[in-house]
Amino acid sequence: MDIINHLVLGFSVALTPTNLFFCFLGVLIGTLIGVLPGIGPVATISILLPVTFGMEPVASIIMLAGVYYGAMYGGSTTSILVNLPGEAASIITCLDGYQMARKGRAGPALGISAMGSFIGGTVSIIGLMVLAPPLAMLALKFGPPEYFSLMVFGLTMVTYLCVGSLIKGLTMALAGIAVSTIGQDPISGITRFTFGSLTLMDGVGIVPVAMGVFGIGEILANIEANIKQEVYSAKIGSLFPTAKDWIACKWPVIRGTVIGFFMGILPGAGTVMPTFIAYSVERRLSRNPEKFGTGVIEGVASPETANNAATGSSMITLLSLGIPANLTMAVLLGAFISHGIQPGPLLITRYPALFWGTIASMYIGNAMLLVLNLPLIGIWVKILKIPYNVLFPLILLFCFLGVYSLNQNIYEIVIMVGFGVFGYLMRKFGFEGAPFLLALLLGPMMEIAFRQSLLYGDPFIFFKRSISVTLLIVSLFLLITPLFPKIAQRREILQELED
Amino acid sequence: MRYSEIIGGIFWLLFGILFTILATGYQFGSVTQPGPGFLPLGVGLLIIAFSLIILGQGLKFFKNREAVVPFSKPGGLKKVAYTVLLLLVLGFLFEEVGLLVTVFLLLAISMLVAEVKSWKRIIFVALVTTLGVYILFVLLLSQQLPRGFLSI
Amino acid sequence: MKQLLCTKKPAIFLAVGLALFWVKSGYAQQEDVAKYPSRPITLIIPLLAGAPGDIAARLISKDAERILGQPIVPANKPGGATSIGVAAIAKAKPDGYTIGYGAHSGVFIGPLLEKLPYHPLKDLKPIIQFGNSLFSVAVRTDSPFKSFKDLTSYARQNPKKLTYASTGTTSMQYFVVNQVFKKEKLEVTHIPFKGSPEGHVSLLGGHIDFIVDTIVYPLVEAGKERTLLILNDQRAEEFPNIPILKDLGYDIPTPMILNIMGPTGIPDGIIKKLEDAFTKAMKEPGFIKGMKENLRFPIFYRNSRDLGEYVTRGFETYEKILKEMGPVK
Repeated sequence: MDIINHLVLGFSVALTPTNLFFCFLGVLIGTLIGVLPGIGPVATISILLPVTFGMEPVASIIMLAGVYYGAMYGGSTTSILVNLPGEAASIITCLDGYQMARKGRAGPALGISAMGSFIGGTVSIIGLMVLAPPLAMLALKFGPPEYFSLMVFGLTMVTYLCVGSLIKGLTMALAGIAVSTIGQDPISGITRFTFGSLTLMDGVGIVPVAMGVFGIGEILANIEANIKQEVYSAKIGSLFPTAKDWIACKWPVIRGTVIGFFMGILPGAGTVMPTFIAYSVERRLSRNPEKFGTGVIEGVASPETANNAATGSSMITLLSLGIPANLTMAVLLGAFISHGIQPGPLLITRYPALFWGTIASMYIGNAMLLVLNLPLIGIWVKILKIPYNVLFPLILLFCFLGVYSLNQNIYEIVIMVGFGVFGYLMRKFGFEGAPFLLALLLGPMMEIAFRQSLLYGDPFIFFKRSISVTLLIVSLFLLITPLFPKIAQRREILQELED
Repeated sequence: MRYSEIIGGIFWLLFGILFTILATGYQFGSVTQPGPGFLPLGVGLLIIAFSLIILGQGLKFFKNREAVVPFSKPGGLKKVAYTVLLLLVLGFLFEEVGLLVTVFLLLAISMLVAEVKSWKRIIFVALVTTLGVYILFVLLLSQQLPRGFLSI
Repeated sequence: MKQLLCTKKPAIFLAVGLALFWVKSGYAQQEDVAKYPSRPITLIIPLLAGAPGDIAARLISKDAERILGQPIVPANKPGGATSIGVAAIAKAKPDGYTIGYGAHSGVFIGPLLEKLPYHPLKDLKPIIQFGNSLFSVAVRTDSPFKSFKDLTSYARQNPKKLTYASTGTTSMQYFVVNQVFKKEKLEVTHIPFKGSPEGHVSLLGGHIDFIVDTIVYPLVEAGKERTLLILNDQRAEEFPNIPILKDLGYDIPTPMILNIMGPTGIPDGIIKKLEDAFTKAMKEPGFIKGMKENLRFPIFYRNSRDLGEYVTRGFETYEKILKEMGPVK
């Protein structure tokens, strides 16, 4: 009954008034920066870091962790309301969330994402508590060949992200890979397609591009069409998901949790990739896949659950090995270090109060977030009542400030605006943004893993390792099966058009 | 909607050709030891192939379909251009003039572009938001934002 | 009113633009050495906030600002393998109110590989060195290699058998070990990684044989990784028994230095004031504790003149090394 003793210890730490306060402060700030586009947990935790120097280490870690998982709650808000991803992990939520809002169902969309986040987040903490050491070992099984196969698997999901024309979607995915090659190639060290720009040396970031393609692109299209209020004039219906919504979301939430949790463990996969995968899986399994992208609630529930489920598991390699799985964790590592604590294999035995206190605070924090976010829904949907010609300048402003705050670099603004124009044009020509972004995200990881693997000198290495070969077979299966019914369906459509 | 496929196809065709040409500037390597030019070249060629298919589809349907121009009216396009220009100009001046001036100008001018008709409303919204942004970003979240010549 | 707004829009844009440029050009102040510092000083850090180097630079500036009597405001300018931030330091107005941390890849490596808008020896004025960052060659604990000699002798008998990770072909660590292997005429397969975490995961998972990277203390202390060689000029206090490059007969400078630099052209009087303030700050208990116990960076002092010579020597060495290796492929 070790676990109970540990939890008792954890809650005794987390429930002290000071720690409760800092937990609340953390999740509150997290929600806030999640809602604000661009400003993410990385920037916020690093800014708060010096502030926490004077605090107790436990309180400081509890607060900063709260910012991290809190941001995942807030991220969906702007995606749903104005098609602007608040964080990279909420890109996919735009697809159905925004369409739901246009149909007057912003409330249920926000409600299900809060509930899904809570479920995903809580289950993931249990997993982190019970399974941390064995799961860390699982992460170690992934070398370059496994990563390559994982990225191939991820990219096959592109076909499920295309709502309209498949060929156009695939073109966008290729374009995403093309853009992802901009920057310094880590294998050879040379810079590609940067034209002498220092900003481009690091490549084009997913956040400015997502904000451009979705947020700015949408705004430009609306400005051109001279939309004043029409988009949002649909009456705002009920604020909470109906019983029917709940039933529809049962499995998407469960699957989102599992996908998010397991992918979150892997360094590099982060919290973004699971959202794409979870969404694609739901579309693949759905009886009405053609409805995805038109505002189905499953399309919001699964990615929003997945990104929260990934938050807990992404802490595993940091806490049990001292290796950060993503950029936010790297900054959190900085927080540990500046308090003189080295997270790693010895963390749990050396600092039991800190470790279990943080875990317990995450349960409390998730509950706080739910209580905090549900009443906020009523306020958020009111934003849609602001006249569009006042609302869009405000959205532009938050994009502008948010994207600058990523690196304090004005050229990030230029990149965002450039991709805004791109997104606007693509919208005009009927090309979708989601495949582009997925490819932009996975492209570099796939290329690096591919070339690293081949450096071992064996071109068949991908088929000689069990995890890698399994992933490749699953990808092949996924790629082949839908082709047949789709071709038939396609013929029909073409026929109709010809007539 | 066939115009969109023709224009879209041409856009990607040009992009594909340009990208492929640029990609040949990097070492291709070999299939077992790919260099930095390997992936870009492959992707560039695939984009060309796909854009030709799209273009073909567009042309095929062009004959018996009523052409729909995807852009609305020039007035709308002008507004788009102003908005883009505004963001770029303010982006380049942001670090010089600082947060407050930029925020005010961004809001006021984009509301002008969006034809908000009452000056009072523009000034009011811009001022209140500027203050709100200052409180939120600088005082509460202590973001590193340029202070500009006003040094605040 | 509406018509006015529509027809006058370009004019409004133009007027605003002109006004802003006027403001920009009119914003210049004369500085007085005796009164320095009379307003806050900006410290440019070319790293993401929260990175160990960032924490170190903030640590020393916390103590220095008390001594100077004006706040030092850190401004993170990450990106471009630190060259964006270093460029911002080099191009800053040389009035002493903008200084920064001259991260080593932006000072020694970047300018040799890319066309950058600054020259590290002409455009940067070193003010003080306050520490070193530690890099090492490490293996898994269950590796048969107990020393760096074991590793090299195995590699000699089994060419191309061993694989190692680094954080890319443009990192200083890579150039250093590359020189070592060249001198020993060894063939070892280099697998570059995008970041340090991915490299350590691959090492622990057995996908590579050794790693050239910063020391990950928790893994060393928990007995998961073993350090074989320290890639620094000075012996590391925490690892008195681990050889440094010089012990094995390799004479390669490794200027992975924690420092404060400014743009060239700051008046000497101001440089002196800054140098004195930061030198004093290095004796503060807060700084010493933070470096030793939390960050575990060795404290190392060089004054402005010595650091200038050291930077020149380091840059010239790497210029030679990179020229010998030929253009990067």
